[in-house]
Order: sequence, then structure tokens, then C-alpha cells
Amino acid sequence: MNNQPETVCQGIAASSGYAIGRVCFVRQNGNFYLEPVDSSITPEQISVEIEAFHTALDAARNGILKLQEELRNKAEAHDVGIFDAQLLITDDQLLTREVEQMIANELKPADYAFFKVVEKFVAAIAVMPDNYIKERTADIRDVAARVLHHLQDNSSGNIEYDDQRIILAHDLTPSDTAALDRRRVLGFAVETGSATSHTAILARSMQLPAVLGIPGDFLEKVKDNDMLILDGYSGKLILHPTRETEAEYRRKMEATLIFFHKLAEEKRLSAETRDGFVLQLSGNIENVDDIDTVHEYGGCGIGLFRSEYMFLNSSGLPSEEEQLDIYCSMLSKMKNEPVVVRTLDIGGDKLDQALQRYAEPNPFLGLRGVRFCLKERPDIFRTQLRALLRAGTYGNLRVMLPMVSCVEEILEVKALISELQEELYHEHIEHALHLPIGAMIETPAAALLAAPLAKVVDFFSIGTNDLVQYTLAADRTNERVNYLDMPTHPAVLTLIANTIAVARRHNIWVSVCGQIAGDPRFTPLLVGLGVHELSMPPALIGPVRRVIRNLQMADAELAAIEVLECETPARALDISMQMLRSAAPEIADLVAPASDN
Amino acid sequence: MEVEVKILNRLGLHARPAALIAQRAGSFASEIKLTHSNGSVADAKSILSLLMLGAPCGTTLTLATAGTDENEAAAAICGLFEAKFDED
Repeated sequence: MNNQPETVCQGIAASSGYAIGRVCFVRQNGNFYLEPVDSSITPEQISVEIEAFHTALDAARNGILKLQEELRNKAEAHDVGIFDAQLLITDDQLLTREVEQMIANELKPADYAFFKVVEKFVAAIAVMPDNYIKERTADIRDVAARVLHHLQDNSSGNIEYDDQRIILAHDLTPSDTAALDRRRVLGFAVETGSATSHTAILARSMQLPAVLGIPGDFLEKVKDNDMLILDGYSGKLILHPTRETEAEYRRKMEATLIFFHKLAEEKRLSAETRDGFVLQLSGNIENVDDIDTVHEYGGCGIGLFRSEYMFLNSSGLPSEEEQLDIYCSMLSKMKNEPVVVRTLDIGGDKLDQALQRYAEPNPFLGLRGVRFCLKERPDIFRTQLRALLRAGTYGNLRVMLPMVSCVEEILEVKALISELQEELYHEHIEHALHLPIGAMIETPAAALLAAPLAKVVDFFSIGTNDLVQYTLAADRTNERVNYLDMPTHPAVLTLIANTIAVARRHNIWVSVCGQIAGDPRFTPLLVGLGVHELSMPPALIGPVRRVIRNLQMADAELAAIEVLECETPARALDISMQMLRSAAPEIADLVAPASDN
Repeated sequence: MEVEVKILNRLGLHARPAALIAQRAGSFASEIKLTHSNGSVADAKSILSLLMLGAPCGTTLTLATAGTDENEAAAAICGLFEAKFDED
């Protein structure tokens, strides 16, 4: 174990922080189904492997029997019958024979042989023309996952699931991520995604160090229980670290912790430049409990409440009353500070089968955000808007519409709001007479239409993650094009600058709530462009505040002008970075350690 | 012995019918095979093998049994097909 060589792999830094600990490999859908490592055994091991295979089959069979017994009291006899089929798979002679042959003739370990044989059957069944039969592959895989679980449990010794782990997986969906237990998970690394995919966004708001875009061949080298260091600042993974490396990282962890404590002590200071310009720093959150962290880090508002997580995490649709409860408890916790609720933003990589009736070939260009609410599920939208209108009397509530691409969409929502106000009035239910409405600027169309949009909304919030993906036509969940995830691309900066300039001209509020809002590398640039508010994961408020307090608005404005004339993303980032380094070198070291460049 | 059987239940030879056949076939000593008109052959004692036939409603299969209890086995399996596996 200890003599394995240290292996380093470079992924994409998705959520800052360090994690040092043992690996827990999470298989697809939370079960343990993943291709085992292809290795070889010696002829002497054949009987041991065959024995292990049969033990695992027995264990799986007993597991199914137990489940069946539990279900017998609750379910229809017909449904329990499904498990009969599963039991037969564990008894299947054809399967057993082929696995035994593969172990004996090809000298493969039991888990690998079993996986390969099962996949052969699944592949044969999956090409069947009959959909109903095709779907049975799920049953086979379900059984296979049980057997593999037993096989791999035995091979890797006793895994203590109650200690803390670094999670590794090929993919974690946003809801998988949200379900991770923060007390037991030190951090995670996955193969898919980029710094702006929703999984990454969630990781930041959960303050879990995360690295995405891990090459598949690296993942194959990692086994459960392996020692790993995850560096969420630089995007590095270090497998089997040497004692020296580990000690170095423990020192770094300690130092960062102390630094963040120091930053937390500044939480009562205002985010004011040296020459007296004040910015609003607020938090991006997805549930009410996150408000405590916003306060802990000294945020002065909620700049983005992602209301879709209310929908994704509950079994049914949240009712008007349930939503009202959630909005009101946020507003009361925030006193009079602003709370911006983004209406349901389903689509893109946040898919939900219960809410969406159609699978789209290209969901990022499909019916998402406000389009989905207006066209597909006006019923859900009405409920949400009614709850928001009612909550509006309890505090400083603002409503933000995602994925706006035309002026008509805003007008349609406003008409709907008037209609609902009328409705509430007739029902004698207290509600807000004016609910500030904002447009998210996350499509190039919206950024170019900033002037007409500014006349019909009360504020803008620039969602830079989507703005980058749509401007550069680069899917942010596709790791093959994540090199194009360039917020300082001149085309993107022109759109951001235009949006901010228009907002200021029309005297409306403009904030940035994308990933760059919480990344100190971009703070000098955004301050110089004249944004009113930066909304970010709460933990990042400290570093950004420190940067702002060390900046001169006059210098930042000049730098912004210079940045807008840059022809390459790298040059633009460089100018912002230089300002950061001269204003707050300690923060510059944190985001781009000198040794890494 | 050999007989022809036809799949009459609406959903065809999916998991549950396949499970019933495999279970029943397993209780006989004889070798029991089901042959699809497309030539593929299934061991009736293996659920995976049966599923791989991919036989939808309306398919005719040839049931072949060989061994000491081949007549009883053929009768039992035919019975399952005729009863549409208690499905429809």
C-alpha cells in the first residue's frame, strides 16, 4: 500500500479548499456498478476467486430475499415477482458457467469476469426491438450491482463508512451533489463537468473542495481506501502522496484556515474601496439554512436564491403555502436586507423528469428558465409567483427571471403578475403591490438588448456562467470544450460592460452573480466596470471584500478601460491579476500560487 | 420431444414470464430448449438466455425437451404459455 508511487493529476479547480483523506468511489446512481479494474490472477488463485464469486452470489441472493420479505407486506404480489426474476439471475447457470470459465481460462479476477459476462448479456438484450424487454437490463444491472458490491467489499477489506472520505465518481448530478453529507465528505472529484457546471456551483455553496474534469485513466488507477490529496485551489489530485507531500499540504491547510479566520474577523467592515465607493456583497444560496453562512461571512443580502432546489429536492411540487413559508423565513432571517429569488430555472444540466415532459436533444438551447415557466408549466409558475407576491409584504423581496432572451418575456411575466395581483385582491389575501422584477443577463441577446430591457425591469443580474457558454457556443458541461470557459474573452467582456453601462445610464441596479463574482482574480475588473453588487458563495465574501478594500476605484476604472481594449482573454485576465497582486498580494497567492505558474 | 408454443401475453417474454419459465424448467431433469424462428436458441433454465430471445407477443417458439421427464416438462412449459403466464 505505502510503496505505491505518488501520482499527480491535473483537473479543473471547481471549488476551493484542500482535502486530505481516503477515497470512497461512488458508482453511478449511488450503487456500486462500475467496471472493475482489469487485472490478472495466478492459476493458484482460480479456486479462491470462484469461491469468492459464489459467496458474493449467495450474499446478493440473501439480500434480495430479505428485500422481498420486507416488500411482501407492503406491495402487490405482482411487484414482488420482479424480485423472483432477480433471484433467478443469481441462480442462472449460464451466467455462472461463463463467469467460472472466464476466471479459469482467462485468469481474470471474479469481479472483472462477472462484470464482463453481465455486460455481454446486457448488450445482447439492449439491442432487442422490444422496449419492454430492453428495460429489463436495469434489473440485470441491479442484481449485478449487488453481487459486485459484495465482491468488492471483500477484496478491499472493511471500509469504515462512518469516517470522512473524499468522493470520487465518473459523474455526480447536481442532486447527487446536494445529497452529499457534508460531515462525512471531505471533498469530491469527478470526470465530467467544468468550473461553471451546476455540480461545481453546488460544491462551492456547500464549501466542499472539488475538482472536475479528471481524466478517466487517472480514475481507473484509484481504488477505494487509497490515500488522496485534493487541491481545490489549483485543481490537482495527488494519489498515494509521500509523507513529505502530505505534510506540506497539512501546513497549507492550516495556513489557509488561519487566513480565513482573519478574513472572517473583517466581516463587519464595509466593502468599500480606498476612495470611498461601496459595493454590495451578497450570497448565492439554495436553502434557508445557508443564510447563517451568509451572515457568518458578513454578506449583506441574498443576491441569488436558486429556487429550483426547492423543487428538485422534494418529492412533489412545493405548494403555494410551502413556498410562502420558505420565502418568509428567509426574509425574516435577513431582516430588511434584500433577498433576490430566481424563479424556477429548470433545464440545461438541471433536468428533472418529474417536471419536464420532453427530453430535449439540446437542453441548453431548449425550453429552460423563464421559457419553461411560460410555455411548459405556467401552472408551476403561477403558484411560485403567487407565493412570491404574498411573501413580498414580509421584507425586501426581489424576483429575478432566468434565461431571458426577449423583451416580450418580461412583459408576459409582468402581465401574469398583474393578473395574479388581481386574483389575490379578490381573494382578500395580502400581497405586495410592487414586486421588483429583474432580468438575468445570461444570453448574448439579453446583453445586447440591455437598453430596451432596462426600461421594463427594476434590476439586472449578470449570470456570467451562461453568458460565457452562450457567447462562445461552448457547452459548459462538456469537458472537451472547457478550455473555452473564458470569462475575460473580449466578446464576453464587451457584453458585460455594455450591460453595466446601460444599467447605470438607466439608473437601475446591476449585479453579477456568476462564478467570476466570487473569484478574486476578476474583482478589480468588475469593480472598475462599475457593478453595484457581487453575489457569490458565502465563503468567498471574505477574500473579495479584502480585495475591494484595497482597491482604488480610480485605478480600477482605468484598468477596466484597458481590459476592454485587450484582444485576448489571457491579456485581459493578466491586467486584472496585476491589479489584484498589487492591491492584495495575500489573496493573489491564494488563487494563483506563485509556484504553480 | 418437440412442440410449438406461441407467446400470447401482450408484453411478450419479459422478465416475469422468463422467470416463471426458468423456475419451472429448473424443476425438471430434462434438458429444455426454446428455439426462435430466427434461429436463436435459449436454455429454458436460464432467465438471461430466455430474455436474450427477445420474443414479443405473437412469436412462435419451438419447445424441445430431452430426458427422463421430457413429457412432463413439455406439458408444464406449454401450460405456462397457454395461460399467458397469468398476465392478461
